[in-house]
Amino acid sequence: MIYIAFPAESKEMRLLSKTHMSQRQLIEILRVVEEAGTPVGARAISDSLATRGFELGERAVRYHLKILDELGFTIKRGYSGRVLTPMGMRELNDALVDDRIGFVNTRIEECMFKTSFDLESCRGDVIANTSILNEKDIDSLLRILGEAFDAGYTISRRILILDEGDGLPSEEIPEGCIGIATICSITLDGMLMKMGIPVETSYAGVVEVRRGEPMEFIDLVAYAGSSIDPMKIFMARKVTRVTDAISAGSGRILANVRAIPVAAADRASALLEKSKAAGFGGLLDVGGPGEPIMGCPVGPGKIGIAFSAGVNGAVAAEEQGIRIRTHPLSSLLDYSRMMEP
Amino acid sequence: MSFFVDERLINPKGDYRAVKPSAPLVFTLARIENLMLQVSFDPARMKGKIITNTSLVRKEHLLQTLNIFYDTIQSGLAVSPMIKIEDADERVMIKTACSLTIDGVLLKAGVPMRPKGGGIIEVVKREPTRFTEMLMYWATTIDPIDILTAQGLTDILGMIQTGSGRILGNLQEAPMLARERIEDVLEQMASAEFTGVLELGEPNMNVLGVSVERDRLGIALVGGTNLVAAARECGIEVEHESISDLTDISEMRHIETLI
Repeated sequence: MIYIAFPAESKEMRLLSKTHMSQRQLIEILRVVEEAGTPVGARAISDSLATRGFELGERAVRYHLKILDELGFTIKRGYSGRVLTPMGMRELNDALVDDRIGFVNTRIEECMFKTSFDLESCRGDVIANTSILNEKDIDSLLRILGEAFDAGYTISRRILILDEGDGLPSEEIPEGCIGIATICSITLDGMLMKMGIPVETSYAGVVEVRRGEPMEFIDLVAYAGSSIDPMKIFMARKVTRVTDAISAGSGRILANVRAIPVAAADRASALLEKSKAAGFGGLLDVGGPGEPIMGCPVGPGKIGIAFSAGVNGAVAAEEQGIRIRTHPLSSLLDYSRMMEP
Repeated sequence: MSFFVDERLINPKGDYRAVKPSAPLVFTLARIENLMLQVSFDPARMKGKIITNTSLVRKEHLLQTLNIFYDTIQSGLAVSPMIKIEDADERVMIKTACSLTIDGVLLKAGVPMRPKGGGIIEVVKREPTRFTEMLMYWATTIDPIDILTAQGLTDILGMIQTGSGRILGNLQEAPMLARERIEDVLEQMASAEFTGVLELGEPNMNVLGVSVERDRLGIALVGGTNLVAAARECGIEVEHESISDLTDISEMRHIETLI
């Protein structure tokens, strides 16, 4: 047909040529190998797959590994162990886009499930964002983080300078660089959830700040409708003016919205009060029943709660010329290890 | 974009918090539907309005930009070779065709089109293989294509030079019953040099790795913004907004007459 943009010439072997179920099995194997971090064999892969609902025997795994080797996605290391190749890593990021739309929500809920922070005792694990920067910039960063918290644009004053053992699963901290963890706003979602409140983290966006007051969202992306973490989208767009918001009282900060049932309003506001007393900040607004919150839609029967993003401090540092790479929602840390600088 | 944060909303006391927005933000899907409604393009007579994207470049970059646009159009990575150039102070405003024009024309032909979302499409040896990222139109106030261009995930030049790369594209759905009508309209559009269909899916079958709803078929189109992404990959600074407005085709010229 003449209207097809570019006609086919030849086909290369890709996972897409496999049926959907077989694709999912192959990708699941890649995920297991990636998460293992060390070379893994068919036995261990088969066991791990079983915990994820994929019933694949050792022999079947071995057969699939052979396909993955041929595609160049895995490679043998040691005695029948497998590791991912860079191509395999890329495939993992690119394949099955349908499964990845809205997947950030699953990641968030996993994090909420894993948090154990208790406001009464101020103990337990919180969700952290990780930033990596040059060692020489650490003093400037700490100053900026402090200012951002005082202005109400981050979640907590506490931070943790990462040791070697706290390394990220996704990235090693290079020589001469330093890793720093800040508290992610999803920690609050975790607290609400642990009180029995069903929390739906719905939107991330940019909030306009005028004369020191957060006004309205000017752009929004729903967590459920994207294959990329909406917070990462806004960080990469470089449309923030967090520094201006801190120093001049007018600018643009990152924030997100969660929706809870109307019936949970009293419980939630009690928790938010308590969290404030425990040193957590960043609360922007609590909406009325079914009312949009700062211009962000909230469903009928729900209440919206808007929080500043935990990454605003790191974003401000980047605006001020500090080279910094930030991974939102990247790890779980013991709150008692985090200190006020 | 920021019409809720209008000065008019600040009351005399300067009390901002008392001011509630009259309505929530407008998402891309609603914006697209508003524009689709106004498409009046008739491919047989080459008349009427189409949906366009708007780019601003510095005057000294215009010729280079047009040359890149030309190469990109030649590679089949754009919707139409028709463009409009207009002076805008120190810069030049370039209007190019947006692929959602095709949705608008199909809608006028009685096909209930549903734009789904925009994404990155991996192309291997001139064959579009799959979406690698996808953002749904209902979920965002910024055009997904603009978001993805800013993420630096495209490789348009790779596609032009070697036939393999990553391009911008979008996905729409229609009832499977409408297939013949859709094919007719696409053919008419193709004879008016509106091209860019990457895949017209089979009923109920996923399109480039994204599933469609029951008894519907999916259509993947190239994004008109590939032109701008290519220019940016060449280091040209472009200010850009996709799906920005409507332009009458009579005001547009074939790119061959402009370079």
